[in-house]
Amino acid sequence: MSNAKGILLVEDNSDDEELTLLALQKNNILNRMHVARDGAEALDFLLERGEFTGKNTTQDLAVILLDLKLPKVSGLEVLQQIRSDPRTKLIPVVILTSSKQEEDILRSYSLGANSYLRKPVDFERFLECVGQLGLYWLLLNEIAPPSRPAT
Amino acid sequence: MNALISTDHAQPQPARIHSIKWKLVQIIIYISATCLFLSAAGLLLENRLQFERDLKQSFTIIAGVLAENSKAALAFNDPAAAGEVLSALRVHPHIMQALLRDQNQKIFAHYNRENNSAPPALAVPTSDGDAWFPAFITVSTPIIHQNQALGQLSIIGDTLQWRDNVIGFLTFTLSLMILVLIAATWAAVKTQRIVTQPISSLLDTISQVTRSKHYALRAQHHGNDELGELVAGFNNMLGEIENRDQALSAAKADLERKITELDQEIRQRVQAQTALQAREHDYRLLFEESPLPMWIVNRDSQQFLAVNRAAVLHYGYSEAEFLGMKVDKIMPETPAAAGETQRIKTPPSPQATLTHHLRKDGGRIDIELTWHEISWKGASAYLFLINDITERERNVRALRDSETRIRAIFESAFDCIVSMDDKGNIIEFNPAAEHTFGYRRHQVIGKPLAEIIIPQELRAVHQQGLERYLQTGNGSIIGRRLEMTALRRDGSTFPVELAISLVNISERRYFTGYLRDITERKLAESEIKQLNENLERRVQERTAQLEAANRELETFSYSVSHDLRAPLRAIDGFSKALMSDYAAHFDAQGKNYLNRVRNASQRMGQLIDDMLKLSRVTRTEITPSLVDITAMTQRISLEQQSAYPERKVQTEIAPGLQAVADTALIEIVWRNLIENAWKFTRERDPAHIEIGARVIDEQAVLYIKDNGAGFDMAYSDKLFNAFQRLHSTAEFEGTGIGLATVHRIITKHGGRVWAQAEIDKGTTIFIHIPGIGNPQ
Repeated sequence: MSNAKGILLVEDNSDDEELTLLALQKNNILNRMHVARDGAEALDFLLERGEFTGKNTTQDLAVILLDLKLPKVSGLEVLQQIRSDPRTKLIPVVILTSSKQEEDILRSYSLGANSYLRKPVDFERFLECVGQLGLYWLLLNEIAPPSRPAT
Repeated sequence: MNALISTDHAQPQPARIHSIKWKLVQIIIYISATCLFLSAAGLLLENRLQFERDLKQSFTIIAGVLAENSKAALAFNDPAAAGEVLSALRVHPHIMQALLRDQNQKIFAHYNRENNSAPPALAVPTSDGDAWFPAFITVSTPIIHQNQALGQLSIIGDTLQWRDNVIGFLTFTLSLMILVLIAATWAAVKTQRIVTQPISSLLDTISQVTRSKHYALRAQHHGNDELGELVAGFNNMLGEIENRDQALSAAKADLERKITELDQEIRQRVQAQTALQAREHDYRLLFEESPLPMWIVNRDSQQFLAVNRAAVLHYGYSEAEFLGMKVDKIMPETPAAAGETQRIKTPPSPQATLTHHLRKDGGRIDIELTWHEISWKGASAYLFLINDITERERNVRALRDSETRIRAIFESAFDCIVSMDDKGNIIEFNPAAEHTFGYRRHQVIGKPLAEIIIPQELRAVHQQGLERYLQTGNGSIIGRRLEMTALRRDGSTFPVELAISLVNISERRYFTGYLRDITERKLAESEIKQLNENLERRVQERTAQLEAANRELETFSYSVSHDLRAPLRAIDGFSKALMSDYAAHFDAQGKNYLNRVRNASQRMGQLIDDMLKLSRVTRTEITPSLVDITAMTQRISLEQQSAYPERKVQTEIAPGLQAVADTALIEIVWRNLIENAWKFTRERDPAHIEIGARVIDEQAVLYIKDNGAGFDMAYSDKLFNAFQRLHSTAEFEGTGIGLATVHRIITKHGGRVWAQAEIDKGTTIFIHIPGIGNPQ
């Protein structure tokens, strides 16, 4: 069942992308991964715009791992738009970023983030962090039922 | 009775009358009762004797009849027949026994009322009851036939009949007695009035007279008996007293009238005398208390007769000395004095004469002298009045001097002094004013001030202000310092500082203005204002620059937070990946290098975090509140203990530690300090950490003391610098930012932090911030 759930990773830094994927892999999280490398691409993917038009991308999305500092459209802006669209507003969003600035944490939660994680520098702790994240959001957490009446 | 009289003064007489009444009634009742009793006793005695006689007579007749009838039986010795005869006694209920004896005194026959057949001889009671009232009566009669005694018949009867009779008699007599007594009592009560009424009436009168002192009252007259005489005597006495009383009243009124007249006369005399004394006292007071020296001198002998206190004070002689002197002692033997002495003998002049006298101390005084001829205790004398004008002369000189001095001040003052009267005309104009305004004094005196020195546009206001002040007394500018514009002769205006004072002289008001040309000061002021404005603008510019710098700093730390950490993460992550996934390709040295790469990157991550904390502290605004330091440090210590469960650390925290500080920032301080204490006591077992407060240099100071590694005090000045470490990373890990952060927070609170340490003995960090308190 967990295999059926997809993850969207929004990350502009290719190192971080690689490390996150590596961490997921080392934690045996083999779910379907989508990677968006800036905010605009993430929004296209989530709101089925541009190249993602009609691809029903959000069908089985279990969690969005969202960096804050992104080219083009910032992570907070992405979060705001996701939360204001009925199709995406119930998808869990975990902020996964380098910053631990209070204002970032406050604004993320006020915009409807479900969780806020700071990527540790120590890779071992990062592994542990990603492992728990996967365990919780992909295995333990129940997502909202896909009741999407064609309104 | 006596008690009743003494306690009831209001009506003593009725009680006494009551007593007399009852005494009378009692006497009557006693007499009646005695008479009745004696009568009844007599009757009873008579009754008894009569009855006894009657009964005996009756029994004797019966015995006679029976004896006669028994004769045959006796004669024929027929006891049965005799018994027959005796049995006839049954008809007589009161005969108890009958005995018939023969001539030998033997019982021949007998009769018993109770029908018992016992021989009755011994049953006959010879006597019972008492002598006064025998229960039985025995009658015996001899039976004689033809002068021959045949026997004897005895009859014994009871006295019951008589007893009944006596009881009936007594009942009747007693009833009668009671009735008679009641009647007697009623009669006594009714008749006693005849005696007590006049006494009661007399007593009432006495009581009224005693109370009212109204001697015209008379007691009511009742008959001509002794009481009547008593009343008449009393009335006569009252008449006598009334006459005396009237005479006494008349005498008293007469006496009172005389006393009043006498009193009035005395009062008039006293008034006259008092008036006289008052007048004399007034004159004496006038003489004694007059501030002017006065004396009276004998016209002929020139001797002093009297002097007043002012004279004693003025001349220095005592009164006794004066009275032993002649006037020439005071008016010296100068030609002028001789003239005066001469003049004294001439008729007095009401005109004052100016001269001088000598005091006891030789001092000369200027005087004004007047004298009058008077009569003093029968002798002709002169009354001298002396007005010492020495002081007046001196005052006139002083006034002249003062005027000169003030004039000099007025003339030489740097400020313009301009006075005007209440009509608004100039009356004074000093040289400074001449110089400032360009007029000469004589040109402006008497001219309206407004037209001379007040600019056209201000004249109306000046005039209104002056008029309002003169009408209402409200002068808003009197006594205040104000600035206004003044007008020069050449028509130019200039700023002046003005103060106006008011003086009332002889009910007219004069205003004096003190004016100072403040043109230069105004210029300086405007320059200062200009400078201030520039300064203000520059401050604003600087503030804006500072704000921009702050914003830059924030952006910078934000970038640091994000962008500097990402490469570190990559370095660490990929090194780790190399070590775990490509371990076979590295020898021990290679792995060692990879470890060093990772350690270095993690340490840099820590450095960045600490730097960001420090910079956040710098940016944070302080919100002070009362912080419970004891609770906060206890909590942090517990957290440390659970992070290092294997450590043995004895922590002593004083109770009641408080500080007024920003809660979040002060927590950073204590977290740093406690973590440091734990870190540097790592080698100690047990470690000891003490948190408390003490007073140093009269300031409350919080401290945290440990028995850890300590440091060399030679470097203590570097302890609180950022990135400055006193131990190698190999000994104790750390970035060297913790104490810098502590320092910055404490400094931001306006406080002070310092340390004391000794290598291997321990460190004590002291904190003073205003508002640290320890209730202990």
